[in-house]
Amino acid sequence: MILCDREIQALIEDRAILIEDEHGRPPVKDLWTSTAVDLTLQGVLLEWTPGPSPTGQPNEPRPAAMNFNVQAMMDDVRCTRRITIDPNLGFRLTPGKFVLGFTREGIRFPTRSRIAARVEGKSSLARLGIGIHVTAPTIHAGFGAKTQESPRLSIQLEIFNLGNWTVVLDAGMAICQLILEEVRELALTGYRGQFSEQRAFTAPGGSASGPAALTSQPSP
Amino acid sequence: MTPTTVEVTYLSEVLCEISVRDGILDTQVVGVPDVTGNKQFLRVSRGFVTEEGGRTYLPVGIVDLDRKGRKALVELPGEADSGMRRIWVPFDNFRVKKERP
Repeated sequence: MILCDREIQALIEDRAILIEDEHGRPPVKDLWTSTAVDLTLQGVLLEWTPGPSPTGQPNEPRPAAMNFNVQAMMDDVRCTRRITIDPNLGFRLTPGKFVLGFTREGIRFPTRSRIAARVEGKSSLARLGIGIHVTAPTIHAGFGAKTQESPRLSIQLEIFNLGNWTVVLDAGMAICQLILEEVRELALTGYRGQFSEQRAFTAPGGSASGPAALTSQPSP
Repeated sequence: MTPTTVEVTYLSEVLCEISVRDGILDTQVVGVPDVTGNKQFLRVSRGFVTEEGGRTYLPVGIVDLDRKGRKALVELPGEADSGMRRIWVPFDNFRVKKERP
């Protein structure tokens, strides 16, 4: 079931979920629609700059290979170029170009809230040929969850230009929309955030085999 | 005389290594070794992992236990670069709950 603006705002006010910018502010009123909330573009982009492998990994990314670590490549200046969007000129996304971007707003969806979401493009940008994700729109329940105090996590965007125009991207522009959905039941297993419903188990120490039992621990 | 083995409580946090300590936008990249020694890398926000005794641990969800094999199926807090979301981790890689004296 897709949530309407009133339901999303109530969840934010109850601190059941968190959607806020770097100053701890929820999205301003003009970013809302009846069933979605727009998120805005962070002022930093990453562009892949394929070259000789600095890590010894193959130059052709192979996700199924042992110890595949594309995240480290994202932070490696030998693999990417970090672009700070010029506040006056913006960033010119030329046809065929692909960059990684981030939402200015951070997200936290504790599993207990039973909320998941999809990040989708905006039709206004789509008409110009701009896409903002590559087939991975789902924000799973539990995203960014650890503690109420832990930092929120920005959504990573894969921004590309399939059109014929050079399109200028500005920091702070509405870049995507977040559509929230209710997860019908609490999942039986899975990641729930460290302190939300911490589970531990007991077993004999060392390498001896023996009985082990799942035990639930109350939230602190 | 039968030797006794001490029962320990393993918390839902698994050993990881920090691959990138100061990543973009206050993030870190961590690698979680599975039972085969393969490391699964993913990005988390800074402060997400626990540091104890010079080791770092990533919070995970415990899905299943293989008691004989002394390994647990865990769910990572996000999708790893390999595409994996759940991996088998040896018991010995879990953070042990310290009993109060």
